[in-house]
Amino acid sequence: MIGPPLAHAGHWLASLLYVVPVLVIVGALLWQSWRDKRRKGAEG
Amino acid sequence: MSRVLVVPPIAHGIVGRQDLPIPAWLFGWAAAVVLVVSFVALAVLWPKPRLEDARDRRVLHVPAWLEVPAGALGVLLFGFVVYAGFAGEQVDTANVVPTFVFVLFWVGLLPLQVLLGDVFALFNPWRAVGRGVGWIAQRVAGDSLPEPMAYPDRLGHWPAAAGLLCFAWLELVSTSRGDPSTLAVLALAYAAIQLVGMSLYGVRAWERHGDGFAVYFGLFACLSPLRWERGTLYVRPLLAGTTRLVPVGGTVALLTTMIGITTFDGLSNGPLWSDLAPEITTVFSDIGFSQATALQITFTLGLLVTVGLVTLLYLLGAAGMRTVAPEYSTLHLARTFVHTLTPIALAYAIAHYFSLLAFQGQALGFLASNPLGRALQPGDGGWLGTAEWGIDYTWLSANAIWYVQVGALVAGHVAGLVLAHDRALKVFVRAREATRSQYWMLVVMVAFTSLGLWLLSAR
Repeated sequence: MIGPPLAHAGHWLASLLYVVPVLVIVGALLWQSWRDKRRKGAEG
Repeated sequence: MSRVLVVPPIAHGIVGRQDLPIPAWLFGWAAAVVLVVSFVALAVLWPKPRLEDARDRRVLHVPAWLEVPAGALGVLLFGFVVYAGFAGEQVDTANVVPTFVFVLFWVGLLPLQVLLGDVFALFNPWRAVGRGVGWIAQRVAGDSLPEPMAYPDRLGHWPAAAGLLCFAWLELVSTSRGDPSTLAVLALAYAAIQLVGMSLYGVRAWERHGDGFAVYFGLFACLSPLRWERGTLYVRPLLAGTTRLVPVGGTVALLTTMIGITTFDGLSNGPLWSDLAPEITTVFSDIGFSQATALQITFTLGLLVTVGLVTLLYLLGAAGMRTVAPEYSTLHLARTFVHTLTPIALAYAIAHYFSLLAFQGQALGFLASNPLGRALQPGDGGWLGTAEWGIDYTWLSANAIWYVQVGALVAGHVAGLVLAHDRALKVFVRAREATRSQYWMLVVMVAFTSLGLWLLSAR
């Protein structure tokens, strides 16, 4: 059944745009956390 | 004004086509930016807890006896609703009961609670009956009247959470939700359970923990700048009341249930659920359930899974705090910050039910004149002369509704951030640690805002 999912693809893509802010903030936090760990490792 | 169209009171989200200047998803991005900016502003400009230590100021004394006529009015109204449920026409749009329960009571009370404080407690019919019976029993039995049992710690807020979930099931799942006599029977059953709870554990203890509606409306009243206590009116800073919430077992479940109910309400009106629900229903139909039962099982599962996912999302935020405070358990942190979910629950309720109140709330104009839904002669205005009024669906545009929804969601989540930051300053002492502890709560707030806007835009 390929028809219906493809027909809804545009709608699904538009819905995914709502997740972008969450992903951006989570990414920023993970990157910050990785940097902190690396700095601590370099100091230790 | 003519009665052009009457929508069933349980048909939530009466929204027309929007004509927005930018795509709806961009509002989600803008809301996230507002939250991040608010978070930074709090970190810089809010170095000490302000709400946690706020004091109430006494402004007015009201005679305590006024609670008696207020309670009696609540009992009379409750009695009339039950009577209308049994004696009136069994049509959801004609009988006042479904609109009274799902629009005036469930939604219409919320703004009153936030603006005026715990108004519901004054008119709570089962509380009034419980207190009245207790007063009479005290007079008759005197000192021989046994003291109520101590409210068990393990019960906590679980009875209230279960009560709200049952009401949500009735509202969002049951096929009998618009049936006036069913609602009347359930109202009596709910009242009976409350009276048993009050007789066992005392009116005050049960009202604070076990009575789902009293706890639900009481939580929203905590956001109010007004507080009523034993005939005295106090004023306090906005939001400060929520900081006094004492978390017990089930408090986290209670708040996440409140958010989960409205989330599922929005989800079940959107395309994702429209795609999924028939597939799941078919599975249960194939097992041998009737179509109606299969549909109810599907919606029950949807409601429970949604509440579970909302709970999981919040617990993830609490678990994230452990990166700064590993000495605390996730559950301890979840309980410590659970009051921050109160403005979010309110924001979700306003966003999802605003259009229902704005449009279906008008139905009370004609239902008040003909609450039993009797057939009237043309020109007969009924009790108050308003029976021929209708609902004006044009007074509020779809765009205006959208802006109210976005405004409510953003304001509610900013309020959640403020409360979380204020509590973090109390818990962690050092401002830097407090701010760092809230990174993952910021993610939770942005996720809840994005989810809320997605649900509303997808209707």
